[in-house]
Amino acid sequence: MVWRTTLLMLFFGALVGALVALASTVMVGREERNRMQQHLAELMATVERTASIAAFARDEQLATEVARGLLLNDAVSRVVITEGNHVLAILGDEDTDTSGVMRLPVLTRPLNSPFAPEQQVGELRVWPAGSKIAQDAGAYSRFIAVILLVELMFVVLSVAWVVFNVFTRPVKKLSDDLHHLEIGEGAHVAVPNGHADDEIGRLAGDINALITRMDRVLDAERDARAQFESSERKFRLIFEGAETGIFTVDSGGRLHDWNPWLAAKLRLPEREGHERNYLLGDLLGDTSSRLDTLMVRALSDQRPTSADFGVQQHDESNVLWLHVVLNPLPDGLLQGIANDVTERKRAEARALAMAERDALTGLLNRRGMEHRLNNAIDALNGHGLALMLLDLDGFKQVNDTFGHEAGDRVLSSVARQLESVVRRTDLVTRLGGDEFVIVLCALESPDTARFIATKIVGTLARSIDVGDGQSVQIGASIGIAYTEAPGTRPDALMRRADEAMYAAKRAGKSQYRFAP
Amino acid sequence: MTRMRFFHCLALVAVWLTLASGCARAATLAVIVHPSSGVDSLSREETSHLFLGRIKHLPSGTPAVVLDTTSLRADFYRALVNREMNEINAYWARLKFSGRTQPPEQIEDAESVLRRVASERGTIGYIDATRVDKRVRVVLLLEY
Repeated sequence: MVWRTTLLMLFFGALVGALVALASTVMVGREERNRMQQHLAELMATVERTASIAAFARDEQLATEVARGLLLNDAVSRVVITEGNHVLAILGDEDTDTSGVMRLPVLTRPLNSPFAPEQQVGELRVWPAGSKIAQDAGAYSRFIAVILLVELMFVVLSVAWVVFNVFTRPVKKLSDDLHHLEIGEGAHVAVPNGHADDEIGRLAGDINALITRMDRVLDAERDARAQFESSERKFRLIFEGAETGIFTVDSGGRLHDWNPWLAAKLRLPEREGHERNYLLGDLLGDTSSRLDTLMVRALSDQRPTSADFGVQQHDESNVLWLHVVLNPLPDGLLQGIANDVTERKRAEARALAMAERDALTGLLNRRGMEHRLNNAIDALNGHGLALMLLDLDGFKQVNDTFGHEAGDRVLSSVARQLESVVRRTDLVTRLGGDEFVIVLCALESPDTARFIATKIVGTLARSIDVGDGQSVQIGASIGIAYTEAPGTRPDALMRRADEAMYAAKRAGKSQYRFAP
Repeated sequence: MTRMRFFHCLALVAVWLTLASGCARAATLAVIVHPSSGVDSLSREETSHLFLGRIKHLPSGTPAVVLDTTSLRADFYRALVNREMNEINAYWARLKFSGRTQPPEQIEDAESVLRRVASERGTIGYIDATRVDKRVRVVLLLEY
């Protein structure tokens, strides 16, 4: 820095020096010109007397002597002495140097009679030597330039020395101190020696005041951060340790944050910093946009909404049930909680299954049948559906003769036989007593129903073991209602089957009849 | 009575002395030339130019031979150009150096000057006016 300063000063110093030298050259030239003119005037005054005498006496010899004497001087290039119109002496050459500044006019001096001063007898004319003036002026200018240069160097070096010692060094020290200062450790910059009362001292003081203030701010910030970290740690423990899923999701369904519980349940990476976008809908196995509906509702109503989602686990057999509550946050984000409700769902499913089954035979009961029949009619889709109403023949006698236990055994046996005849997808129901209903779905034609009815009649005609070495012979009468119309009402179908069944009974048992 | 005469005589002597000296002061120098030089009169300037070497011929064209009367020199130049002898000598000293212009010939007594002027045609000199005679012609009178 000090070198740059010095170089700058040298540059400007040299600039000013050059300008001054230039100006001084012109001035010196002018000065030299004046000096020369005066010198010549004095010279002419010295020889005036003799020249006057030469002119007065018209003495060419003496005039020539005077002229020769004058020419001995470097400043004179030519001398002419005249008497009236008569030239007494002419010596030297006219100066060839015609450079403007140095050119001097020809000096003329009247020569008066030595005895009558008022009477002019002749003239002395002298041509100054311009080259001589230029030479002298140049030498003088050079001398001045050298003096200026020496002075300039001295001044610049002095100023550089002063700048370095008084200004640069303390500022550099201050700068170095500041550069290596560790903020927040109570360190301060030292005030440079001898600068306590000037601007540098004040600068150091201000820097120290700033450092102190910054230390205080840093301390306060450190405390605040520590407090924040402690509370965040607490929240994080709650977040990470919760036995429930906590997450945030944006309006596009992308998960932003989630806790380890949810990660474990949905097989997500534990930490954030994942590159992939995880869509909550995909993770929940939601194919019918229920989640979207739920989010839209939460965001539009600005109220928590909730729904259950069954997530198919990888082993296919198990379903994870999650009860998801979405809570709208500002900025279009949703905060969510997911609870594992699989156990409850299973219990519910079990209860539901129980309610739709016949306790004795394990077949569907009336409720279960009605429930499914509706679905089956809805799903017809161009195929046929046959509803068979089946009534056992002679069951009452079995009950009366062998007791209820034997009756129950007969019912169970019939149920197994019915199940063995139909497809897994067909419905086998015990309506109550000795009445059964079989629903055959997805039939190509009524022939299949006819075939199965024949099989059932044949199977049930065989004897059934009722225990204690006893067996009974019963049969079954079947009424079949066939439909391909999607809008068919279940109760109308039942009624038609019922009428066909009675027709079969009247016809003489162990028969089947199609409803018209 | 005798005493009275003495004082009377003393007074007379004093008056004479005064008059005599007054006459001496009012003396006249005459610049003279040969009668047949062709010059009737000269101005003071022409005279000074001749005696100081500026002019080397008489107005009539005759080359001039200039004579100084040594005893009258100081008075003459004082009267002519109002210069003292040392100045005149310095003037001639410078011209003598060149050798081209010669100072007037120095003649000791007025009688010799008179004789020279009377005998040579181009000669010009000066003598006390009282000593002028027919042999020469006066061209200028200078009082001193």
